[in-house]
Amino acid sequence: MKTTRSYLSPWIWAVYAVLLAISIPWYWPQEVGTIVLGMPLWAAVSVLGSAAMSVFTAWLFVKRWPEEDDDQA
Amino acid sequence: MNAIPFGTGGLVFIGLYLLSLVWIGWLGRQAREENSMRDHFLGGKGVGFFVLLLTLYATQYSGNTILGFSGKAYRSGFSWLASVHFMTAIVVTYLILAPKLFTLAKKHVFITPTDFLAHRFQHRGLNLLATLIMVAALLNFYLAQLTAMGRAVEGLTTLPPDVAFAWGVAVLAAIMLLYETLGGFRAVAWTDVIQGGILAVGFFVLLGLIFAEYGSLEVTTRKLAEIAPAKVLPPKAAEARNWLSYVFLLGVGAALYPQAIQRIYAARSAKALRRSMAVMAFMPLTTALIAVLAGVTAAAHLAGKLDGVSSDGVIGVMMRQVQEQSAFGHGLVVLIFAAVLGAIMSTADSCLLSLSSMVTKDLYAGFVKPEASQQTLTTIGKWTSTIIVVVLASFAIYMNSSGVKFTLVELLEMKFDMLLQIAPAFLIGIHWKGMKSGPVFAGMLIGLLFALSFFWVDEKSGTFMASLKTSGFHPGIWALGLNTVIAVAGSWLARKSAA
Repeated sequence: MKTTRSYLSPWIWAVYAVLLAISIPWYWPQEVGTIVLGMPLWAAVSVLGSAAMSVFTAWLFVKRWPEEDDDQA
Repeated sequence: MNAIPFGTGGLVFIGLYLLSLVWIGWLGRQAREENSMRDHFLGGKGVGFFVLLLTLYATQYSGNTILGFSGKAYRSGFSWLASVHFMTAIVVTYLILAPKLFTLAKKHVFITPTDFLAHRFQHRGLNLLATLIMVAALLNFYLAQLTAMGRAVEGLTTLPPDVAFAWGVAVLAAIMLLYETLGGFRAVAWTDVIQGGILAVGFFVLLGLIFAEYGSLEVTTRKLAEIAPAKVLPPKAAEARNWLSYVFLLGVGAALYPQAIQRIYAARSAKALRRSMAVMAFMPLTTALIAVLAGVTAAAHLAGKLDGVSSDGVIGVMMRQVQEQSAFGHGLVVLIFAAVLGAIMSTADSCLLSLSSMVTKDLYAGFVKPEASQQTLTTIGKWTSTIIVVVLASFAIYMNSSGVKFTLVELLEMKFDMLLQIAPAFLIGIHWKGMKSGPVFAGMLIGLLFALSFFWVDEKSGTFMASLKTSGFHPGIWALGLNTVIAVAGSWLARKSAA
């Protein structure tokens, strides 16, 4: 939180890469499968993955914004 | 929206809504602090959390989101959930850009995106090229919004569709020009509060109406699996690559929209900006997701009724069915129509103001008359807006009547291949001090030419370029790769040789 680039740490981008890899449905068999939340399972996983990305992004904006920039009003 | 006959009550509501926009434009004029470019284009000291959030929201979510996304989901099914991902990716890109850009913008009083490039690279060629790319992309986007305006109005009256389209474009564009010329950024941002508010409510009402009319999502999915299984199956390998490509193309490209960058400049404080961005991270789930669910529902229950360009009107067809059911549904459909108009106009007005700021400050003051006074430049900005509106509205009407029609998603994609080429200058240039202006300029120019060259590549020619074109990744992504390599490797080599 002290440095201006804390929101660019490699682990943050690793989390995004994992979430994206889960969310993009490249690994599913070509079948409709179970229906969850009214959608095919692959689509529900994709939406939940996107929701996780939203939560993570919002957290970064609220908690990891470089502190010294906050003074620039 | 495909022949929705509005009663007097509905038309009065829409009329009052449009009049309120002009009234807000007048209020914006009253609030003017000085006759300067910063006051006109960014609202002086800027806006706080509430207005900033709604102007970011209303600007980001456009006619494409409701009409284009639902139309695309109608055509391709659940695989258009890609749109939820790329709309989220836009906010992720701001993580890289916004904190530092905001600080710099306040310190150096930036007005246009090119102000940052001029400050960072001091390269006139780069300023000109980047400005031309952004102006070209925005002209394309503005044209798409004008076309969406015409389409939205087409079905409202008993006039022939072409005539209604022309009147819709002309009247709505005139209203937009009026309030923007009166109040500048304040008018645009304050009208965004109304437009964004109605849009947010409209999306939830849309979801409710669809479930009430067509049954649960599970019923829809099972029906679609029977009649068009391809729209329910997960994407194949090439489609999954295309999905990833969309995440980068639009996620990065749309974050670099000049009007979006100017909203970072217009934040009154870092606190307001980061809180707005945090809320924006959730908006794809309340907008793009609902548009996809609407399109998928239509694919199951209105199969075969629409195709090609006309499928962008799928929401209109659904709303007409809802409207026929009850008076309550009728009122809600009027609200959805207002939301569609709000989505289109709020994006279009921001686009127009941004265009006029770049033409005035970056092109006229940057290259023609650097000594022009603030007052002169503000006046030129207003005239620029007027000329853009007249020319592009005429072009939209001509294009519609001559039969040259694109689907909204096609129009949306064309400009991102270009806009993406300014990404290294912003996203890398803002963090890496070693980045040099020459390689950045060369990368941007070559990237742009490379992206545009795909237009002439025959997909079936069997060449290397054809294999890139059919790979699932957009031309702009390949061009961005080349652009980044040139900019980064060139800067690194330049540093080595200087050391």
